[in-house]
Amino acid sequence: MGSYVVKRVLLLIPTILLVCVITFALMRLIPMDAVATLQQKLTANGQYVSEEYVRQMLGLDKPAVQQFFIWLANVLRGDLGTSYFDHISVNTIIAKKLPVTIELGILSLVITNCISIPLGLHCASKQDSVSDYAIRVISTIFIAVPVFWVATLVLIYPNIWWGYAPRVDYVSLFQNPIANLGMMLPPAIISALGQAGIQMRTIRTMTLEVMRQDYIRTAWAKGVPEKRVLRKYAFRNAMIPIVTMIGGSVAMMIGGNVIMENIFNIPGIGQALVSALNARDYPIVEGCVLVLSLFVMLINLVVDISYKWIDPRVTLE
Amino acid sequence: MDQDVVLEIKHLRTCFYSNGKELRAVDDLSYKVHRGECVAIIGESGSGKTVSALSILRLISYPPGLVMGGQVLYNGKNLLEMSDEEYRKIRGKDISMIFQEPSAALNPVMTIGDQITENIMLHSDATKEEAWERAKGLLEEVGIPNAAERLKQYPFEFSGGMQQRAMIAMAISCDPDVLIADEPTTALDVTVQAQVLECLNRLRRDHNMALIIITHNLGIVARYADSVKIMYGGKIVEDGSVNDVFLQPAHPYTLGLIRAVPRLDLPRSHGLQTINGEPPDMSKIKPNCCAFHFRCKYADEKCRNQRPLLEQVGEGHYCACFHKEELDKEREEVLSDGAEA
Repeated sequence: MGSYVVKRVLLLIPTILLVCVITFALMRLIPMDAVATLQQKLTANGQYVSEEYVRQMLGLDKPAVQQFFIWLANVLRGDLGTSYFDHISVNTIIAKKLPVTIELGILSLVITNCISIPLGLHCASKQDSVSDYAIRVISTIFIAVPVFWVATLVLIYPNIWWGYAPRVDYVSLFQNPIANLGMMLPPAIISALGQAGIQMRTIRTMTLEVMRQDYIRTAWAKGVPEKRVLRKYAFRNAMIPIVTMIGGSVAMMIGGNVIMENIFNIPGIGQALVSALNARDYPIVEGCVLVLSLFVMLINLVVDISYKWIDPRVTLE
Repeated sequence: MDQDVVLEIKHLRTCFYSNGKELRAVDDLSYKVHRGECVAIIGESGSGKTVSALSILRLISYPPGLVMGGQVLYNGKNLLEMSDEEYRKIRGKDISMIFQEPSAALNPVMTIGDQITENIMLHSDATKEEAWERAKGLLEEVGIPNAAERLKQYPFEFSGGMQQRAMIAMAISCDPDVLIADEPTTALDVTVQAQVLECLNRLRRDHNMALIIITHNLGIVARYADSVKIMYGGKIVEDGSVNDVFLQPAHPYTLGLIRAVPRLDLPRSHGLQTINGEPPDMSKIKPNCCAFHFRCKYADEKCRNQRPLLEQVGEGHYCACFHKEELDKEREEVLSDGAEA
């Protein structure tokens, strides 16, 4: 177990390195960089500098490979760089914005599971009943409609009908929990619905698959009550593929909430990433991608380790 | 004798529905099981023996299966008319069942101990500790050494024979009156088969419980059973004590089965005898005919158009065949090869 974790953590290094190389290369492959914009900005502020000077200042005059290793050396020292435009260190930006993204991710994850697990189990136990059909149809709708569309509707119609608009000024959970949740819940629910639809259907299918197994018949033959059969026999055995899927949706929620953060003006890492991408603010993009991908990989690791706990037959090697 | 009957099945009929067609898997099945008796139900695959057992425990799921009629009387109460909740309390306590493939029939993510104690705690007021203690005793009783350690293990850590023993321990944990064993040794190798059967038989005597063994192994039947029901096409075609059925078989199918047992004491030239034709296709058998007529050399017009009923051929020995008198010659032939199959 211990050696397995160590091995997996060591394996993270080449993966992370590859992610960094790809991000670094892609950023430099997109047309335009920050130089012209920054020069205009400085000029507008009364600092007359040439483009070459700005390029040199940002270190973009060096060959790309050299730039990469300079950046990497700094990262290894724990310094993710500084934003080109407002001179805030990327470490500070991430420290401020990552918790927001994580909060949003956890909220939608909790909502997704609160919807999908009970409904999936219900549909599996009442296969082909009216409620099963109804739930499946509704879940298909939520899978089909794009989240940004639902999000836009949620912003527009309550406002027209009741004059309600979600907050746009962020407050931390610890400062004002009610205001914070008032702002975070609508996007969390919206992004949870589509995911819950997919997850509920998978839970239903997996549970039905397990319900056909011989040990379920044994459970009935023992006189185990239905609720317990579903919980201790069916769901417990269907957990393995379900946990894989939940792990995948956690990754989706951290990365995928970029859209929600932008629509609802939530100052998370996704929003920072998109605006930095538009401004070609390389250090922020590279720093954010690094942190997000590290996060996703750690979640995958946790999922893999949890198999051991769910299924006694699994040995971690 | 009759006050000793623990389980009586009367005119049980179970059908399956697929593509709008009705398939009679069990058709008008009746038999009695006495306290402490070992009843063997024999038949080839598809003869309805497993379905009849599952019908008793109401484990046929609808769709596609449905118990259409009949009664299953346990101590005089009809199990088929009970509410689910009422019946739940009988399952696993008074009537329990062990299955063909122990590796698939045990929950892979629960320890053996949890699975046995679950049964005990569902049907009694025992505390966790008491149930655990009892489970330990049960494992020892079915011949699993190191019971205390073994209880904490998962099914995949057990061998096939050990899994079936654990399954038996679970099934007898509440001292049932009736234990149904559906091909309990089919998935096990031969040496283990004998051990498991010995174990079952010993428990039957010690606990005075009735044992219904479903099998197609005639050797098991000859050794352990008191009474034998031969099933074909969802019906009982011959019913009698083990001596009657093996020494005085009255149905051509029974005779065919006995004949088909491989014999080591006969010259090789004797060859392996088989019953002609294929196992019955239940969708093709009309209700009013003898299900065996497709494969029977005695079959005539009457067999094709009328269903033979069980008729007494001896003390407690019944047979459903129109031609049982014509069987004498063949019976002579088969039995002269050796009295014991």
